[in-house]
Amino acid sequence: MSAYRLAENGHLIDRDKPVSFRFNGQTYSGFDGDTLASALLAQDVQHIAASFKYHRPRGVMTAGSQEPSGVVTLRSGGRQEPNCKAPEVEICEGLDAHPQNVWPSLGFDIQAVNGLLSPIFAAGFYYKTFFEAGQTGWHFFERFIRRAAGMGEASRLPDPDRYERANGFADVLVVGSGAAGLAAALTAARSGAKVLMAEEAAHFGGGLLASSATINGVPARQWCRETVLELTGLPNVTLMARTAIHGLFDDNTVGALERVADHKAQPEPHEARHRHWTIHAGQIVLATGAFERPMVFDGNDRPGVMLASAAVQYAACYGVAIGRAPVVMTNNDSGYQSAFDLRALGVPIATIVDPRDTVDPALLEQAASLSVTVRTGHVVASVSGRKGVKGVRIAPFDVRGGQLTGAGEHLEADAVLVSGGWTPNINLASQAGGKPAFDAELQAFLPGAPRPNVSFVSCGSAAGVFDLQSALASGQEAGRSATEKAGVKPLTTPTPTVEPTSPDVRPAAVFDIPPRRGKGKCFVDFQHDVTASDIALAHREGYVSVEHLKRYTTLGMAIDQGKNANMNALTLMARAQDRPIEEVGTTRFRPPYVPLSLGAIAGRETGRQFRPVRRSPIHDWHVSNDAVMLNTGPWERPRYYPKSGETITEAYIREATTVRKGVGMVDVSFLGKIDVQGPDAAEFLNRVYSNAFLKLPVGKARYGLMLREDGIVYDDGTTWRLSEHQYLMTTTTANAALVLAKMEYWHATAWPELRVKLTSLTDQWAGMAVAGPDSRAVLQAVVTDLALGAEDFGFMAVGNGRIGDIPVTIARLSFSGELAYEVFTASHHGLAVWEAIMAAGQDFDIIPYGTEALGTLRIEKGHVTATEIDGRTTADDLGLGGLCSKKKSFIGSALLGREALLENNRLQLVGLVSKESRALLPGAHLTASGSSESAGHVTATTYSPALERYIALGLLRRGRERHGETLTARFPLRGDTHEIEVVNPVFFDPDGSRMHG
Amino acid sequence: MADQSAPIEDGCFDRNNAKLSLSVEHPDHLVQIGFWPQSAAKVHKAVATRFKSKKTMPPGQFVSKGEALCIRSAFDAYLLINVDPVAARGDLSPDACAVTDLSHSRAAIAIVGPAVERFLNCDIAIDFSLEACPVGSAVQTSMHHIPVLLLRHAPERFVLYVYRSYARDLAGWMADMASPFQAG
Repeated sequence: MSAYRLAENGHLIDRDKPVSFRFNGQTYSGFDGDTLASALLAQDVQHIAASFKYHRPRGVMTAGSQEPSGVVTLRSGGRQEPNCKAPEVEICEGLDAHPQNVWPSLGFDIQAVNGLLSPIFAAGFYYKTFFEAGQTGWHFFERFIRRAAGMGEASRLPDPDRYERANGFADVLVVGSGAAGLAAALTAARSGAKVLMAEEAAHFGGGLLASSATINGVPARQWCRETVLELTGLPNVTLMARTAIHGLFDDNTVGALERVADHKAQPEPHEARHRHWTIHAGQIVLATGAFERPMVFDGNDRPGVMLASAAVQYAACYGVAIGRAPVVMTNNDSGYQSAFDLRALGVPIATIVDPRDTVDPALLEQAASLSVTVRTGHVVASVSGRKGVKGVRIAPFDVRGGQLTGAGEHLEADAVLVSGGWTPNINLASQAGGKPAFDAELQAFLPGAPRPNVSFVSCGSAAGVFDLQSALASGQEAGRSATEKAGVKPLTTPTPTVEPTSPDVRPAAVFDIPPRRGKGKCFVDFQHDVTASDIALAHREGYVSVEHLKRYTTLGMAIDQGKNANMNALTLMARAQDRPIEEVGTTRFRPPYVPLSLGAIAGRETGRQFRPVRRSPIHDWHVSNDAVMLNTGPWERPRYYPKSGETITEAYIREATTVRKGVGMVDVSFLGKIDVQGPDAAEFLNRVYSNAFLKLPVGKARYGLMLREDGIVYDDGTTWRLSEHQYLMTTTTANAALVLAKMEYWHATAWPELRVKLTSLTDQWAGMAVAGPDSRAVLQAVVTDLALGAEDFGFMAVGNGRIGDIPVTIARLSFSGELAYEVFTASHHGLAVWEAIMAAGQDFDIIPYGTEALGTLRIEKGHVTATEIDGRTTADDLGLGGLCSKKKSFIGSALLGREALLENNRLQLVGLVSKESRALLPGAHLTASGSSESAGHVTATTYSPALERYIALGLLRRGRERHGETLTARFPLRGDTHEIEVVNPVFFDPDGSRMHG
Repeated sequence: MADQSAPIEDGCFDRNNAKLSLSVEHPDHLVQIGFWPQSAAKVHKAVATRFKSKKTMPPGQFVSKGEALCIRSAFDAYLLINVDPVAARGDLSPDACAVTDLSHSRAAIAIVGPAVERFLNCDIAIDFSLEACPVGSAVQTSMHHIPVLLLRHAPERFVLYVYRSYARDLAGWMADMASPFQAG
């Protein structure tokens, strides 16, 4: 091997700025602008990776994101990122890259023994070997297989870097910045369209960066630079480098990954490493170029075997020669152009091998003038060398028969540069387009028409237009067409002139060189180690569909997603089936076009920003008073307020006991609150609720039950009549938005004639429930302008008063079963009112209580909530059948009487008491003693301080008939069985004297 | 006694610069006027008269008169800012419309600077270019999954209204989102 840095060339590097970096534990030096691939090649480091299955030494094959072999892990710790493609990695001071999938080292990878066992590890090895092993056997082997499999390893540490998401908008999105892309962007931009051009590489220009052609009389690179300069200066143009479009979706929604800071040692403060863009494009121009195609021959995966165009790019852009004696093998004229360009750049190409018998005499003449030997009718039959190319065997080849016709001869060489024709990059078009069309001359698929809900136009080599002059014209036309469709009048500009004429890229149909006597490894998919013989095996085993072939062999499923392998695989498959390629077809490419970091997908929604949080107006008080908070849906609610050393159980028992014996206060700001207002508000509520609401007087509240259309209970809550036309409806916390949406739906679709307006007031009002025998006294001490005596302000009364000078609305309601009041005030005053009540309650030893104690109190009282209103229960199941009016029609009434809801073995609400003096498990199944058949389940459990027993609510078949029965609560997952007694669900104060008192 | 605890603190945005500045706003009142088809003409006329607008405003736009703003927030609703509930009702009877005081339900954050469009596009998939979203636009969308209302007061000035309970969380999210624009 003898790659080296050329004394000249390399317009993308700055030789005055050396950069040191590390690879495989060693320090190397490159130049600013180098990629990891170019910098390592410049120092003749070619063996940089190991393949997936056989752990064969691999080097760099390409110069772009389609790289299948030169894949490394970057950085370490939380910033470790696997599967980075060396040609895409821009070196920077301190960059640390590691080989992956090797152990113990790159130089001595013990799993390379797999290569010796390759006859066993053929396609379908796992399926065949472990199919009979049974589940237990598979699980045994699975861990070894998983340990050996995989490419790189993601860090298990949190990634400290920032990842962002953003949205972009454009009349015309141009994907790719080669000749066609630049021409399209320039046409659209000069016409005044809002243009966004995305280029996945660090530099704009695509193939022009290494082209030896001239455009309008100047070197292509200069034309590119001037064009980019003009685009940069236009206010309607956004140019995005290092931005790969990864997906084309409906309505021209486009996904893109911007590698914002990968080229830096570390992102700047507040700078993202990656940014995911969702681009909303009026029109899309796909100028995505084409991939030079590898050829399939023995040893085609060795480090030092590279695409010919990639070798030109390394020489032109980075001043790196791939070898001192490279051999070019090509089946088309572009390989000659690459050889000539390399010679011009100072790379000593001595031999071109071409399977074709007849070649354009002009090419032969030019080769002769450069003293390059051309071996027509020959191919590279095999490569010698393991970690690099040491020589090649050149052998005669019969194009028609597709076979070697002789043993050939050995040729000294240190690199093999391959051109197997060109494959238009139709990946994005395939994602959003119709069936690709096969072009027999190019031996490649071209983009199909866009789907009706996507609008793109392909141009340049992506559309099969390879001649540079024609590609520019095609780009202009695409830009003009997209501009016009975007509603902007397109300007016509002259097409630039190109010298010299581009080479003919139509290949001879020679893509694989079967080895003599069948020996040797000819790779089709380099990363997944899928060989030509694997494809033949799949064919022999009956895999006739290209989709099945892909899945059976894993071809095209590596990180290059088949960019290098697909066409060669299709050719082999077509030949095996003796069918034309167009009949075999191709798989549909799917997003993402390039791998996406998980960080880019997540964006900033990680850690404490994972999801939005709602906070009550009294939140800070809870936190500063040591509340343990609980996330319930988006809300953060106080769960309990532990005193020093208290467990959660001790805390909620203390809190619930205090409410029963004295007074406590709980924040209920989380309840859903809906303003129902208008002349027809009463009628609306009367139709929504199952119980009567027409005659609810002003200044009164009523418990309401809401059903779904199918008769199942939907939600419950109290509704307060504040004035003639205005009601305040409360809902459960979880269902607040759903209830509002449902009511708006009913209003809009069923009763649009009702003059009523529904508005969420959840955030307008802070609420607190003051509960316990002393609650009245506490409020009387602090509330003015409202008489709260038992006779003045009875159960379900609603009135307005003041606390200090703050207006409050108070309702006498009880969820706890105690004498209780709900105090509502405007949210900004919530904290002040809470503190005023707490201060007034000091003489009564008032305490705050949380959701745990609230749950205990409601279970003791047999009040239902979401665990019982579970989407399956009817009002009758919950003992609330009396709330379903027989005198009116309401939502759910039509289906309430259907047979299934009237069956006598339905689950009904019951109380459950432990007979073992220990906690019941929620979710446990209720079974008859000695039976394992579930007759119901436990919905909510607690220790009842009022009863001094462990109690629960449950849903039990024919539950109301079974009070007094002893059952077993079983929780098989925890191996628990528990003797319980079925009782009335209202454990505490069944006659309601306390809350009505 | 009349303590008013704000949902977000004035000092929560401490990295402002010329490129992008976030600040907490304190509108006096926020009142919704909801109406029904039977009374729509009457309400439109009353609103147009009060705000001296020549024609009925379509949803998605707002007008101002002094400090007062009138937003057509839905086909059947206006949102008035800096207008107290009594003034909002004016001569409109309860039979004609529902007037709902929402003054305590929202927090407001002003977003100002030349980077404002790019800033908003970091989260919101709406084209905020002046052609697509001119001054006077009222946009209802979501940020960080939280419903928000955005009013464009000037090419480089938006005011965002968010439910009070989400305000602190959203303010933190926005401050973090602004940090790349405010770095250095």
